[in-house]
Amino acid sequence: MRRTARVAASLVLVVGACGGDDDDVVVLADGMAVVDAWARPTPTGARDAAVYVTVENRNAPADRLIGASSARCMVMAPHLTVIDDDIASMSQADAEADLLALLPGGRVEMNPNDLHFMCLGLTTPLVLGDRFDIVLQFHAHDPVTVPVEVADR
Amino acid sequence: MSAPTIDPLDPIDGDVEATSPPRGRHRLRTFSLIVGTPMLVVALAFGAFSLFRPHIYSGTVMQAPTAAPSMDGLEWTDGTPVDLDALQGDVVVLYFGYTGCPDVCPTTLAQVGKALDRLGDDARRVHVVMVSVDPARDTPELLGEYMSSYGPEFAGATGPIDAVERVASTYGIFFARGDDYGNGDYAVDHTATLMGIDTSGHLRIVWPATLDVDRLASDLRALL
Ligand SMILES: [Cu+2]
Repeated sequence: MRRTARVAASLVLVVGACGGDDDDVVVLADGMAVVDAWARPTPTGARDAAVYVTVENRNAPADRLIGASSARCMVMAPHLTVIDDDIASMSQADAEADLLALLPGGRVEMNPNDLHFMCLGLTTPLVLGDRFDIVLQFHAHDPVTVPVEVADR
Repeated sequence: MSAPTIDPLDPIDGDVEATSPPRGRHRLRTFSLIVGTPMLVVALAFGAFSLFRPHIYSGTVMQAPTAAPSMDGLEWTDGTPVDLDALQGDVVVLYFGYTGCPDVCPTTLAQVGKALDRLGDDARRVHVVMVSVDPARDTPELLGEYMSSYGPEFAGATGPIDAVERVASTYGIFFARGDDYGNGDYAVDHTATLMGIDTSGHLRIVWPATLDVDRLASDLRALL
């Protein structure tokens, strides 16, 4: 399984096929698809940021997102924000957690106040309209580079 | 909301009028007077109700609003003491957060910014104040730059940790050092609600962190 996933992943098929700025979709040959990746512009002085990625498994072999990296961040890690009884707290999302599982037909969706990739130690502020690359790491697939749109959503 | 116009004397379109015999037409007119007049009254009453109906807030409104507790011991980022009384006449949106907050605070502040955009010129009568729950790292310089990047209505307040703790607790705000990121950086867990202080200086309303921009804007408009 792991081997087939790797072979499939090496045949990256479509990049940015859908036109418009907002809907760059990176689809691997086996159907693993990164359908969204964005971050908010960072306020002056912010040292950390959150990046929101959505990955869909369109019937590729089961896999799991395990991490990410970018030249714009010293460290990146999957994090989960929880707002419980109005108190917001944040913790590392365990790489083994169901939250990051990509079963066939399933998806991992990151959103503000929820699951996100934490960008620890911004090398430069994120400016509205900016685009930068991050590399997504999977348990089985090869790493995939995707563009992140800096947007005020 | 405009009430639909109903003219009881000319109720039916041309087709019916042209083909109806005189007697039928008379009946029609009587019928439309009987039905149309009450409808007109109902429509007008509904219109009037919509106009004068009190605003229904999306946030949680205090049953007995009290004067917003003092922020003695805290300073604006230019070093002047925070005196909420000086802001009376304007609306204050109060938040407790920190500049190292990567997800919740920037999301909330961006939403508040969008709500202010919807208020147009009235936004000048709103002050968005973030009290730092991380005073050890949020220097006045850093906090000031951070807040002003959201716009002129945004200001930061900070002070010695004991003053911050006292003010937070009088506002019912919890905060504590949270997750360690492993690189020396750490999160600060905190109550993420927004509070609204009305133009008379009363703590009037609390909004949840996950708030809708349009609803916040309409609440703010009502507070102004
Ligand atoms: Cu985080």
